[in-house]
Amino acid sequence: MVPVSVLPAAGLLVALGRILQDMGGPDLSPMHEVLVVLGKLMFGGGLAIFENLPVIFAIGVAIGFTGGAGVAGLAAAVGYFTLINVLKVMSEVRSLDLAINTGVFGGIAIGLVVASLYRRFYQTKLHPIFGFFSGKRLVPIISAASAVLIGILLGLIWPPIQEAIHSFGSYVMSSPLGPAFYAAGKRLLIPVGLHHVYYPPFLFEFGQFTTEAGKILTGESPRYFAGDPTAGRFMASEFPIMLFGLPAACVAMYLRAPADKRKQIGGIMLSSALTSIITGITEPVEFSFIFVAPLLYIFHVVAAFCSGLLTSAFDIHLGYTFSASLIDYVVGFFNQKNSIYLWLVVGPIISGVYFTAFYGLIGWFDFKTPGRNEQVDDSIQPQEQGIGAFTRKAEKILTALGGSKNIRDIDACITRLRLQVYDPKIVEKDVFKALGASGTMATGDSLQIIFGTESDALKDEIKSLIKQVESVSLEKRLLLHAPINGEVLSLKDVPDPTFADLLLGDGFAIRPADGVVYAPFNAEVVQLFRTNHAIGLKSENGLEVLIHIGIDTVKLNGDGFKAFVKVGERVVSGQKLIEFDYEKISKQAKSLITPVVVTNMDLVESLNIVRFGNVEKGNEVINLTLKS
Amino acid sequence: MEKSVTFLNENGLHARPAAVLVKHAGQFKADVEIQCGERSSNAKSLMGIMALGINKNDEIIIKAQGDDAEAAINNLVDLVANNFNLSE
Repeated sequence: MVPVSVLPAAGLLVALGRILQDMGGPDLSPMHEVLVVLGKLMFGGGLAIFENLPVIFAIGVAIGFTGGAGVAGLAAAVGYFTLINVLKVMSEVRSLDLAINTGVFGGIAIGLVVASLYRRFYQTKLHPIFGFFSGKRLVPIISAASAVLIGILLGLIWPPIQEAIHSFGSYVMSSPLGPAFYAAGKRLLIPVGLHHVYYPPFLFEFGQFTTEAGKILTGESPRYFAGDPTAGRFMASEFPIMLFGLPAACVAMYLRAPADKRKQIGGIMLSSALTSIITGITEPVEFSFIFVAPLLYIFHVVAAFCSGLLTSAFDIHLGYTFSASLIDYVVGFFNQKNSIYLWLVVGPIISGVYFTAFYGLIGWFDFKTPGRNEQVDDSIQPQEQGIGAFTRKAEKILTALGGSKNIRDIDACITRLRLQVYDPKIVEKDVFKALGASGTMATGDSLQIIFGTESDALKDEIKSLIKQVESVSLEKRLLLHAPINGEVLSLKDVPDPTFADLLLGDGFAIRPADGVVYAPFNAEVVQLFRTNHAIGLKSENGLEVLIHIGIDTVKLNGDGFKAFVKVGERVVSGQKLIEFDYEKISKQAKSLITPVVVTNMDLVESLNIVRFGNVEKGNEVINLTLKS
Repeated sequence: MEKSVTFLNENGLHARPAAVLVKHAGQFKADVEIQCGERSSNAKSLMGIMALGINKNDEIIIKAQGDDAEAAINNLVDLVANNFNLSE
């Protein structure tokens, strides 16, 4: 959600710039002139952000989806500019009438593609000759190449889509039902978090406005703030909900809470209502009833539709950059139209409808809204306060998530933590509610937990906790990679009790597919048996690992084995250690199964085999932690 | 104290006898060391004793220090003299 967070900055600059410019009358005093120039500067500066939304989205999405990788942002910019020029060429080549313009969609697409390219390639090692371009430096190069392909593809398929969006856009723009569908659609998609897919076309694509300076802007939000008198119908539809409807629902839920819980519920409801009014963030209210009372959720969507009908009927125009909040109302007031009816007619109607519906339906169906469910009440604990309370909360969340080991990815969008976990089964969802989450949604291994506006800060705190854990244990952790191409087996499958009964230590075995043994980690060669059939390696942090090629191979007396390293030599992970004659030894030895064993298990805190079955040299097989 | 013994195993001290030796040495509290030629190693470290590169007919010296040093030496000397109770 990085890109969306720059918009309020743009909105504020543009709005202040507008106000300053409007202060100039026909008889300009020097003071006024200065103000007007200042206004122009601010207006122009802020507008630049709206004009360049596609590239801001490309960079923001790429950074957001890679956990803040700067290179991904650079690659996204490279990719986006490449795309734009390729599209230009495509429309010349195809001699199209319209210029191909993918708008924010193109930006978002590039951002997503670059993010996945980054994750795929940022550790890729090239041949030493091209060493300079290995790893992260490879990402912008591949991104540019990919952008050319995407450009060609979009150049072929985008024009009809562009037409369709354009005509749908002009249809909803002129339709009196447009704002109603906009408001209702957003409410409908909130619980699943898909509203972020729904609103960008409305806010950033539909409609077109040319400023006095000749700049062309698209989308409700940029047009509104640039002073387009026709913009603001859609955004206006949401103001009654944020400023009137949901706060009224809060009052109803407060009054429906049992008398002995009122004080506690009142506090929660007051802060939720104020959050909705002041910042336009609605999830804290919505998630207090969406799950316990789906009927109220349906009502909410229908009511949002009605709100859109009303604001459309009264021709109310209002704008926002972030959400329909009081702050945005004030900032965008300069271009408002008929907003007096919001306060006199639409607002009071909407708040009356919400209050009546919530108060009535909660009583009628006995919905378990906050305070009305015994079990839930027990889990609402007074929030811890004071220094370190926030860190402790983050720690508890991390523990409930299964610890840092279980977290693949963590992000936050305004009111919710978005996570990818390795094992969703070990996540203790009940704990989140006790810690103040208003809801949790899980699909497969992804998880959304609604912690309200502190989600972003929680994300940062959890990330830094994970970092601490990792940096403390960095020297204590070791990955063992597959030393041979083949199949990873349990030591128990080794046809020799010395290994199968773990007499030498724990580890894994590998059934080789070919005859080359590579170092499974950075190490020193501490032992190489005279016959070259077994090699002992020691890591910098003291772990000793024995690779024993085949079973009873000592009897071959070295025939068919060739070593490429000497005792005392330092080797890096993936370096060739030994070659053996696969055909010969598989015929002569009892078995080719090769145990890879940690021989000083007394140093080991935990040892996990992360992968069984077919592996290639260099795949991670064991993840182990040493005792501290 | 220390005792010397001839190493009998056909293939030298490879993984299997080494495992048995380490297991036996580990039963004792005493610090046990094995010397072969110039080099020596803690008898409780598998990688250490394998690194000695002991071959058949090598003369090795078993040293121990601590409470049960004598028992440890006798046990390990027996083990080596009987070829680790392995039939190979």
